[in-house]
Amino acid sequence: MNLTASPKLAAYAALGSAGILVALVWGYPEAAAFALPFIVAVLAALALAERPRLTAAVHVDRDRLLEGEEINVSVELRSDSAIPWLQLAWPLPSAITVAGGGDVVGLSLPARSPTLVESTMKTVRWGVVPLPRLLVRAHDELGCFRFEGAVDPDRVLRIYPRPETLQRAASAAETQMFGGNELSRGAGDGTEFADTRPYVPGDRPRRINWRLSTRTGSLHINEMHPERNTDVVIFLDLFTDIRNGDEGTLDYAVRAASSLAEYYLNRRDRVGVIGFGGILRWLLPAMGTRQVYRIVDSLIDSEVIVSHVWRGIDVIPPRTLPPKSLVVALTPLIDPRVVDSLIDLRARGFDLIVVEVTAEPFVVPGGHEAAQLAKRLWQLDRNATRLRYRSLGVPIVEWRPGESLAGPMAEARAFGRRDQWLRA
Amino acid sequence: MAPRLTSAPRLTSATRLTATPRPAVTPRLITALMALGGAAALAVFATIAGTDATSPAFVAADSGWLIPGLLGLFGVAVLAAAMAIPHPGPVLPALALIGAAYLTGLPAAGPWRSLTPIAGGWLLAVAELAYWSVDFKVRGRDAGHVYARRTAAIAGVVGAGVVLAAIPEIDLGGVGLGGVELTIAGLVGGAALIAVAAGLAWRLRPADTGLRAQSTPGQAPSARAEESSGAPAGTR
Repeated sequence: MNLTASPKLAAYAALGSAGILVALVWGYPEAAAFALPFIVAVLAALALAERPRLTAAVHVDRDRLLEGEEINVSVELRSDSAIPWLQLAWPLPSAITVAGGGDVVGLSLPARSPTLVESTMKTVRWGVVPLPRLLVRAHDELGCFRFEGAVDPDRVLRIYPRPETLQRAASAAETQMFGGNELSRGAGDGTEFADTRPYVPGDRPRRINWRLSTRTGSLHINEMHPERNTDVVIFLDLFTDIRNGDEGTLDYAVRAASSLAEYYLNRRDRVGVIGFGGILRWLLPAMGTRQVYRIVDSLIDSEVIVSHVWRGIDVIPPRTLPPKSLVVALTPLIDPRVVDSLIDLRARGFDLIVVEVTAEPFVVPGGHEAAQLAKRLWQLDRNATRLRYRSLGVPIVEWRPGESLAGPMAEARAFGRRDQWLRA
Repeated sequence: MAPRLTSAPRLTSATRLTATPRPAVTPRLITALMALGGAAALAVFATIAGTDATSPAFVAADSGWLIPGLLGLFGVAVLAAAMAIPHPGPVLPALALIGAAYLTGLPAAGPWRSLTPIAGGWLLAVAELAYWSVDFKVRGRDAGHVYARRTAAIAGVVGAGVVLAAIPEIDLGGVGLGGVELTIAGLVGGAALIAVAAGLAWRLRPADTGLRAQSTPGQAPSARAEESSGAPAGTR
């Protein structure tokens, strides 16, 4: 532990020395008598001070938790000698706050007796957060010395975004070959009635529609829509994160991605993730419970890495974007690379939905007229971008942070139906 | 997942504390007011003593009370500024000004002089209270216990200082040392003090003992998801 002397010690030494000097130089012994208590205080401080031998162990009850959950952190302290005043401080990152108190704890530590200091922390934002170093400061009896050190817990907290439970979300226009919850537009084995057609040899007798066959005089059979799964790729814009204070568009985009991944995976769809940013990150589509954990594990590592390299969708591995997959893009629509890449995806025939995590709540213009004008121009530019997508038949829905994702998803679903009707 | 700590002893009889620190504004305000009151009292004492015809201030100037009065006033003002900022830096000049006020106002003879050790202890108490206000930030459930121990420690040091400071006064009256002998005694005493202080400070030299951390090994912050899950993932 590093030793730091309080300014008090230097002041006392200076006053004591000055008194003795005055006494010696001017032959004024009262100055020495007057200053002697300060010298006694310095000597007493030096005699009473003892370098503490402290052992600190940090315990955390768990290291994987959801946003908003609390975590109990306990520090077990043991010292060979009594410490009159010990201060513990957690310089917490923005993703964690201390629940119900401050981040500085003070206590008096007895000798050779384990003391447990418990603290409750609350997670605020998703992410991979190293548990902060615990700063320890021990004071001596007279407050003339400080012994400072730090304990590195060497623990990493994985804070997962809290997903929103969605009842319905937009569906892919095309289904895949595996069984799932989505009705295929084609005919086959299933439970949902699709159409009737004349019997051909080889059809199963149980599918004959007897009422229609009796009326028409020839055998007809019922056709069904098969239930199939879909491929969904969540496209996360990692080029831009518009922040204001502790919140930003990326925070909400990751939460939305987590919610959507959980929803689609519950429907037995295959879900993949593409983090399109300075560093391209991807997770191949797969289904099942393990994929939920893979996705949220990859999402909480998401961060914006500044890059000026022009990237298009050519850099995306082909297996990441299966044919006939639904691409749900979560983006604030700020970076032109993302805007152009999404249009390129649409041009290549992918079923695309753009969920615009609106950046407007995070953009606070200045009070002067030019700033207001700039914001209006920026809004016009964004409207033009939205119109560009709509003219290409891409459902683009605006999602305001703090609101439920169900509304924009319903809007996207309605847009998709209208688009299918227009195409028909 | 990182393994849990296993080397920690069971805390069957351990003290349990909960991190609910409280603000310590009131105690610091009390100590600040006490320090200012003590400093003002010493300044007033020096000003009154300065009216004595034998005081150095009176010898230097006709209106002898003016020099200790002004020094004391400035000292109290600087101390008040230190309390208000709050910062320990101005406390030293404030103490020096008040001490100078006392020494310039001290009469050359009479009962006032015998009070010098007590005045020194008084100024030390003022200094302790002042530093307590600006430098000793206490928050926590043990604060009351710490206050009591700190008060006892200050009282002990002040008492010891007063007693030790009174010894030279007694000796000087009895032995009647003066001139070169007194200077040599003072120099020897000063050197002895420095040697004692150096010896005591040597004990506090850095050693390999200190804070030892016991914590469970954790996952590196940069650990990627696919490393733990084996997922078909990648970066480019």
